[in-house]
Order: sequence, then structure tokens, then C-alpha cells
Amino acid sequence: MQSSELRTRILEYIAYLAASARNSIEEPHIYGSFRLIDAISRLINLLKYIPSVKEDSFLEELKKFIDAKKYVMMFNTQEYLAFLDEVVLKVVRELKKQTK
Amino acid sequence: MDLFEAIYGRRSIRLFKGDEVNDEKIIKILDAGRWAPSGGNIQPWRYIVVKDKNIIKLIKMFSPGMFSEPPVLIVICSDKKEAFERGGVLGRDYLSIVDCAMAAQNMMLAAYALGLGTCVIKSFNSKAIREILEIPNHVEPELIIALGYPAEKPTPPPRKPLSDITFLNRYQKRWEKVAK
Repeated sequence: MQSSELRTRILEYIAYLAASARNSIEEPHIYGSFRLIDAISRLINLLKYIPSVKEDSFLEELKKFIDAKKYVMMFNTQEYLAFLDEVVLKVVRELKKQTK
Repeated sequence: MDLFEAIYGRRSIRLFKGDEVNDEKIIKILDAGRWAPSGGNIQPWRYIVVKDKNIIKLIKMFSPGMFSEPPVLIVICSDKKEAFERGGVLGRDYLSIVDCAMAAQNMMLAAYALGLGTCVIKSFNSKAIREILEIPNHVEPELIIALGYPAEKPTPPPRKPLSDITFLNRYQKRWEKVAK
């Protein structure tokens, strides 16, 4: 059974996803991508409230990287695409480590 | 503060200090909005000031475009009933939104002049905001202004050159005086 704090955080996350799902119908297409990448940051933040999840330096760094770079979406599409590629690569490299 | 200093210096602030904003400043900002132009002088704008931390938290949950919890939110709404009665379809569907946008800009410049930061937000779920703030059906939440003391100093975003967006006398006829 999760704590009420955790339940609230999960509901917050669901609220963000549900509002994004609804709003993205009318918002600029690129916002859909932005909401997804922002959702990763929020998901990593959510993990802090799950007692059984240990601190994870990779996830913390990934969150910092996303939060520092995500707003480039509004100014420079090429830079934003490069940033998205970099996020994917960071995750691939991390997963690859686990297969070795 | 010089008006142009405010126009060029204002940035969208997405990170705020926790410091409280005093009511006098909030009221001054709201009053600056009240003096924005209004189509047909209908003034369909309605302001909901939100200072309750729990309500701000709840609004943020349904506002993907809000990235932190500022100490104050100003929810700018338009009264569509009044806008239609006095301004017809044009008043309801167009002028009421434009009026709220002009009021928002006045408020954001006023806030900047008072040392405060703002960010105007449209990415929120209207139905959720309506439910949270008990807004009646004939009133539409148009924009939310996040307000507080800035905890960041964003670099200016790029702007299109004036020469790319300005014409003289006819569309697409460049105005030579507007430098690149």
C-alpha cells in the first residue's frame, strides 16, 4: 500500500499527463514532444517519493540535463532535435551497460 | 522606470522565489490591466487572484505550461455573456480574447516595473481550472499570469528582425528605413 504522499504525487503526475493529452489536440505539434520530454523529468522526480527506489545518479543527471535544455524547443528547432537525440543516446548507453 | 526599459527588459520567468508579494503591488498590477484598451470599451475581463498555496498547487497540476509554483497567480477570464450582449459575435469570439491579452501585457510590464517577474500561461486545462476556481459557464479562463520575485535571469530569446516583419504601404513591400 502506498503512502498518501505518494498517492498524491502519482495523481499529480496523472493530472499532468491527462491535461497534456487533452491540450495537445489544439497546441502546436512540437508541444507534444515537449510534454513527453518534460514528463521524463517529472517521472524521475516522482521516484523520490517511492521509498524502495534508491538514489540513482544516472536518473538525477538525466533530469538535470533535461531541465537545463528543454526550453530550447521554443527558440531553436535544430538544437532541440539534437537535445532529444542526446537524451535517447544517454538512455541507450545506460541500458547497454546493463546488458554487458 | 522608463517604458522602453520595461518592454526590452521583461522576460518570461518560470522560477520564482518563495517571497510573498504584498497586496498593494498586486492591486497596482491589476489596475494596470484595467487601463488596457478594450474593444467597444466592453471590458469583459475578470481577474481571479490566487494566493492560496493549495489552490496554486492544484492549478499547476492541470497546467502543463506552468513549471514552478509562484506565490501568486492572476487568472484572467472573459465574461462571454457580457461580451456577446455588448459586442455580438465579434465581441464574444475575438475582442474578449484580445482585450484579455492586452490587459495581460499591461500587467506584466507593471509587474516588471515593480521588480516582479511574470510568465503568461495558456497551456492549462480550462475545464479543470473552471472546476477548481468555481468559474461559471459564461466566464472563460483565457490566460494565467504567474507572478512573484524572479529566481532566474533568462537570456533574451531571439527575435525576428524588424525588417522581416515590417512592410510599407503594401504587404511584402519592404520599408528601406527598417534596418536588418
